[in-house]
Amino acid sequence: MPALMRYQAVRYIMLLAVIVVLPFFFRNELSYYLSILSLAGIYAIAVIGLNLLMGYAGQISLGHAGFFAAGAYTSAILTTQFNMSPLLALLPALIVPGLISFIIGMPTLKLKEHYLAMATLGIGLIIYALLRANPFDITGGPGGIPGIPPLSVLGLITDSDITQYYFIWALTFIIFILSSNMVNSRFGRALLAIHKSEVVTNVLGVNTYKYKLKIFVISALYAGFAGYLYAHCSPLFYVSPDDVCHFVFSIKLVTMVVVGGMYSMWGSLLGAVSLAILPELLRVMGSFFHGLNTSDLEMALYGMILILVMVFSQSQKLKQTLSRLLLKERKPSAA
Amino acid sequence: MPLLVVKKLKKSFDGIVAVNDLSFEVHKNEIAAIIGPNGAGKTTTFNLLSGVLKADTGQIIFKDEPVFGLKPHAIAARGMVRTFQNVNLFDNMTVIDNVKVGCHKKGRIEVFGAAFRTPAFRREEAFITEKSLSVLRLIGLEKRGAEMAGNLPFGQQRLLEIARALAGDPEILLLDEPAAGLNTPETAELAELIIKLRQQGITIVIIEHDMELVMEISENIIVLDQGIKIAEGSPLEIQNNRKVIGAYLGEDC
Repeated sequence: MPALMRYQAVRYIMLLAVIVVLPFFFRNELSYYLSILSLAGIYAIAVIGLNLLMGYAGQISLGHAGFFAAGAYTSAILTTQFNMSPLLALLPALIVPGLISFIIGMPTLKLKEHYLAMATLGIGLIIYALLRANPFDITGGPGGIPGIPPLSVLGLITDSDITQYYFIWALTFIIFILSSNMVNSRFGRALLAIHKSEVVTNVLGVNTYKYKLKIFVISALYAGFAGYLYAHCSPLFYVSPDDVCHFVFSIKLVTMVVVGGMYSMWGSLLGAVSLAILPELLRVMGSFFHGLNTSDLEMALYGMILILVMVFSQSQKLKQTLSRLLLKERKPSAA
Repeated sequence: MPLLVVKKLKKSFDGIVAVNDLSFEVHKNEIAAIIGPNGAGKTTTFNLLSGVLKADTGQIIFKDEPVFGLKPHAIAARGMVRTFQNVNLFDNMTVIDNVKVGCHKKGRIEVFGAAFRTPAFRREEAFITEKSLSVLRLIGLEKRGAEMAGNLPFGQQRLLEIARALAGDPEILLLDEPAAGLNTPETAELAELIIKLRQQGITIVIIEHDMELVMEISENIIVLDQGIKIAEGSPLEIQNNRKVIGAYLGEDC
């Protein structure tokens, strides 16, 4: 095995070890920590997908919560109102976000620049409004859908916090490896090239439109799958427009990608986990100040993170700045 | 039979005619040059040929097939690839990965094969890597494949851009001012490379301001001025053409 592959295998094994061992560290309030970590795993899947689109291909989606919600709600509706088995509902839960992304991607990705960002922003808001307005009396309106059944795969039922944790993270782990493979290929190189210059990539023989559309749909499928897991494998078994489709959630996903670092799969993992923990940290801090609404604070923090990243837009620059600040590598001054 | 035939090509931007009634032919295994003062329409011509821009009217026939109106990737797939005037490397990628993107159209494995690392994927990657290394060897950069493309010195970036275009095995290569910003030894190296490419059977069309280079390597020169072809001929003919001296050389001296 080449050295690089061995190195990668070692990192994967270490990640797996961390996933397996982590629950043993939380003796007290285990279920509380597990629920946060499970949620982080679900986020990670959506963030990996969004990173493929944003970090690699350089296309921005501001409505990824919409695809997440499409997956979550499709399955929630089918399993609670049509008694479909949750496993069977996976297929429609992927088809719906896939189809929506295909339909809005087809016209907007023909155009250059950031038309996709605007279109996805729009579709996110529309899905949110539809879920709340509940025109066909199937989404439960603002109250959402409670009592979603757990998944049952090969005798494993995702109705306890520990099975949820291991089930989700097993999937996250597999998806993480497959996605890392996916970007490290002809396909991934084409995406990175598109990110840098669409015209040049196109002239070299890459059908840039096809690739942009493909990665956009794939990215929506990741979000839809994460939404599906959220419906069937998180402690509440409950979806509501504010939880799965809010604009702030879309921004949160974007921030997770940005925090972890564009075009880094490990970064996606890190970004998802750290920002999943953040609200909990804020809540603890908020308890010291009476009546402080930490969810507002959370939004402000996302905003701040995004601004900071924009200011230091190039990671190279950020690295230099950080190393100067942290390592005190100052140029000797004339004085 | 010419490899590339351009007939009455016309392109205007907001009423300003950039390329006007341009016709010329490029024969197989020829080195042709397009010269002319700034704003003569040289780069616009390349944009039209490569499909980056669509001409208002006219015809482009490549290998006896009309390619007018095709998308750039479709034109590249037929074997016509260009480089850009400003170095346009993917500086977010390594040297060899840049070349591998140029090799893209030689592969076909997509998402699934990559994700699961299928045997077909491994074979194709090995092929792409070998092909890219051979192109890097041609420009003497095979040892620097793992470096970030943006870290190369300028002269080598220029060569890398040509290498990237070569990786797709083009039949005709359109080079847009490849010598711009190069010093004398680097330009000599470039001339050597271009001649070597021609020996390998690649047809070359070059836009260039470096007259010494143009006169040294090209067999046919097309002179543009304000979108119009004012002269065409061998280097000797062009050097002695009064119109050219008036429009172009006179202005430059």
